[in-house]
Amino acid sequence: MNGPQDLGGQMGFGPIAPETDEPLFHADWEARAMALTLAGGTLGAWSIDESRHCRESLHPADYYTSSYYEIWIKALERLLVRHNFVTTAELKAGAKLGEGAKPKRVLKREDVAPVLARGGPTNRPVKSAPLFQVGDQVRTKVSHPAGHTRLPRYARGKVGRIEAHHGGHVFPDTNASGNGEQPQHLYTVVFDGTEIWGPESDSSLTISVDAWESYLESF
Amino acid sequence: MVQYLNGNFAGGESVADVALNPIWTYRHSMTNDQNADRSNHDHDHSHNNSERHDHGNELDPMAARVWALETILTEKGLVEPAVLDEIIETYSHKVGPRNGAHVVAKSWSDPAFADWLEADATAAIASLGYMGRQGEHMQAVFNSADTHNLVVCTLCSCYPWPVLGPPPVWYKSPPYRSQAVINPRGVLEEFGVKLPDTTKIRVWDSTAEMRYLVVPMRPEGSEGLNVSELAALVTRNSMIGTGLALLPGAV
Repeated sequence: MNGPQDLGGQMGFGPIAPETDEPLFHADWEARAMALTLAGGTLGAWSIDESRHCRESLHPADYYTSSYYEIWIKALERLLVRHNFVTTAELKAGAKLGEGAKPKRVLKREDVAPVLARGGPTNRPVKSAPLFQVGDQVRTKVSHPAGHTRLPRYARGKVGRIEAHHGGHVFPDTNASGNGEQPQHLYTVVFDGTEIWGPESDSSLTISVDAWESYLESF
Repeated sequence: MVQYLNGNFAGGESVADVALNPIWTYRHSMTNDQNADRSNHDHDHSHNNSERHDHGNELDPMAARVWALETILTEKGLVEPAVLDEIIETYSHKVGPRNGAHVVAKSWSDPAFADWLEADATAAIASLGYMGRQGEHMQAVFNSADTHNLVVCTLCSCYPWPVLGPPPVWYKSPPYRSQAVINPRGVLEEFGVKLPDTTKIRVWDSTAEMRYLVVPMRPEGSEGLNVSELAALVTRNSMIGTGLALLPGAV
């Protein structure tokens, strides 16, 4: 979706202002928010793609004025309601009011280390041969899907070169909407800065994105 | 708390939260305790604008909201507080940029490891015990006099957690995510990094589950240092590309 998350090349957000000696968390609730989000993911009801889509679906005014962990918590609340684990009435009350959906699993303390160490690999076998080879010129398709996509707007309709082939990976565009993993070949595609930003841009710049095969066409 | 939660939760597209004005840097938004704790060593932080946070003992709105959610999920048996403690402990003390610094230092001092890191970063990094969530598919990108690498996630906040820990606020925020791809030299200058005009810049936008670790150039004068001494020269930012490795005398 052409949502607030698609930030590459946008202007007017001001200085980066990196903080000196930044703490990992700026308040206790941020640590709890991070841990709640990770623990919530292990309930097995939604994918990381769905959670990303949920965050980018916040109203742009909300997204841009929320700190990072605020975005996470707002999305987590929505995911929990969407998947019937909690109700809006419970969020209002701050307490359990009834039974909800049963999770596939509930994370236990002894499982934290192995679960984090395992992570969620997204590589999957793909039966079809890759359409592109390293070195091929390709053009990214111009498309504006209303749902989740991982091809940034700045990189649509641009000519680049296949730099690497990473095998098959879960396709976020379908996985985010519950339509299955539908894995595709994944490539690193590198573009000249001038192809993306025009002849005035830095000629020493190249930019790459990781692009699923259906984002690409031969050129 | 209840009053705050009304109208501010899942489902709607309410913009009521806008008035709270949380923003992407924390220079002006820390709690009293944190300001007090940090004021001794960091004078960049303003102490005169903490309107977002309460100054008394009450929970601020987000603290209340997160506590409410944890309470509900705990009552429903969906989350165990001890599990949350364990996750926080992991990323507070076990997983962080010292892991990545170890990887970089080893690659500087062991050519065979450097070759392995270039060919199969996931396996090479796992051989040092660093693996898992948000680092399932790793690629190491090596800086040289010819090319400087810079990593960003314009679409969210993808970042190699097993080697760098959770990302800093600036990495996740709109100013960096918007500028890194269009004006990387300007971004680097904000971080105090001025590259020769002859050095090309390669920006890696982490749009899939590939996670990128920048291997900075080994600094001059670091010959003869062992792996742990070398690791002390490797800053987090140098492994994102917004910094360079420190010179030995700077540590």
